[in-house]
Amino acid sequence: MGITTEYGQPGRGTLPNAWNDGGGQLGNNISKRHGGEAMDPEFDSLTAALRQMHDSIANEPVPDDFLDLLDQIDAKISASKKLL
Amino acid sequence: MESRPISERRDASDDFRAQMLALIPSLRAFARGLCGNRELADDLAQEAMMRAWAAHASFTPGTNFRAWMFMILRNQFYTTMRKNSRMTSWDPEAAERLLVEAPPQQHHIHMHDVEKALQKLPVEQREILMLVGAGGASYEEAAVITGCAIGTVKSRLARGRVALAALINGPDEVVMKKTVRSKPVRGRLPKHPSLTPSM
Repeated sequence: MGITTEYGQPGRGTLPNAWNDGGGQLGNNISKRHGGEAMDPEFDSLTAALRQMHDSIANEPVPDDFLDLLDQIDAKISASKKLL
Repeated sequence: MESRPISERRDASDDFRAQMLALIPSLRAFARGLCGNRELADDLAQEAMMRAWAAHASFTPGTNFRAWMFMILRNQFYTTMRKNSRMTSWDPEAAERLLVEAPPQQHHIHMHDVEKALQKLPVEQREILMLVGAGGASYEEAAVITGCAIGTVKSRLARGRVALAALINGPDEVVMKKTVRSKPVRGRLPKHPSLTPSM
């Protein structure tokens, strides 16, 4: 039995890591493990499943509500600049 | 406290907006993992963004903006969870039922099963699995966000992994139900070293 994940398949390359610039732990280690060396047959399918779950959400188009909210923040930023 | 020059404050505001925009996907994913519901998760993420903006003066440029935002979102989640019964919370009876059900008669477990199992975990384990396991945060970052010690992060991660594997694979993979908390499930879900805390 295994978990059906895109990243769970050997040879898929490095995983995207949203925390890379913050010293992310998982992605960095996996990058090293996938860095041209032979694939570890014991690739962690549980981690891969969690990563895929995260990435599937993160890759969704950002809903308009969020962009509207950012527009509101922009307006506040502009307003605050005018006061300076 | 010494105030920063106007030009620096302007840059900080622009930067704040840009960083927030870049973080939206990760915030949505973390929120979804926490509460298990798309609409509620998006509400949660937006509320966190508004709160972050309201408190942006307290953020020190150059420090870890992402950890700061995740901390706000997490605090908002706990506040909302206390008020909103629709939010998923730890349900030991449901987990018990899931553990004693027959294992699925299929050879592959789909993402939906992982999401479903994740929501059965205690929120303390779920948030660590989402931060470190799913989002790739370091132990240190997870410790900052959750306000606990690194050792606690590691132990919650380890326990969360075992419990999640047990929920996904069914009782056959858990040697004895009573040993779920202390004995890792081996074989079908091999551990990755990065998620195997070195105590």
